[in-house]
Amino acid sequence: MIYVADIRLIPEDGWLLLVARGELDLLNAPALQEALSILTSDARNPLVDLRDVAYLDSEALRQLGRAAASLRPTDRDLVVMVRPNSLPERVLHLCGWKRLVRICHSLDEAARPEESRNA
Amino acid sequence: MLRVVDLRATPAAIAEARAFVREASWGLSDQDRMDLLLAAGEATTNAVRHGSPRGERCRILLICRRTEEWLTLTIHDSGVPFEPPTSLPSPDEPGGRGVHVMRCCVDEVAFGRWEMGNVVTLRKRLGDGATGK
Repeated sequence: MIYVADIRLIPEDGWLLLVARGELDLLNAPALQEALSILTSDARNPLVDLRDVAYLDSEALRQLGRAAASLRPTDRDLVVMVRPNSLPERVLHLCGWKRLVRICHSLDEAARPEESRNA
Repeated sequence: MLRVVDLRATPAAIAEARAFVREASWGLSDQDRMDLLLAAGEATTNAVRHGSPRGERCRILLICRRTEEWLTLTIHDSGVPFEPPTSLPSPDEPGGRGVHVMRCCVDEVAFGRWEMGNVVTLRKRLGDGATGK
């Protein structure tokens, strides 16, 4: 059985959330890229919720890196929400993505940039 | 113990490869399984993206061998020889992390050739209670 990811865009409290579930890899990279493009072109604060993502590969990371780079001219961070000690958090740390995106563990933390910058 | 899976070189093969590794990595700690899954996923992604010149007509072969001490996974593709990167790309370059992830996640990584193409070997040392018997 192939596990297919579910990717949705949900507005919430001044944020636009990209909520992903499942496994993000080369198979669904185009869908992730399209959703990230909508997310980063929106005026609301962009947040990628990976708390229900069981697998994240370097192709998905590449998409997140591009999205973060596209936000630089607008002086906004790409906030990425993960579960502590999860596989997505491990990949983000292994690849040094803490410098490109702001990692947090909850929406409350996402709203407090100084705390999540060191998550 | 030896397990083999032969996959068509499509993006869907990456999820099938992960399912194969999940089954073959019984007895490993959660952390070690996570790391093996990451390394195997990256190697299979590279096999699909770079090691399958005839696209979906190519095959990718995964072989898992377990001994008392080691779990060894080999990923075979049909690609032309390549030089794996020896360092991380600059922080501003969003791609090129796959080999780095492999090196971080298993005890040994080797890049070689077989009759049909490239073969990546990933080796994870087994702890107590995770032998191949």
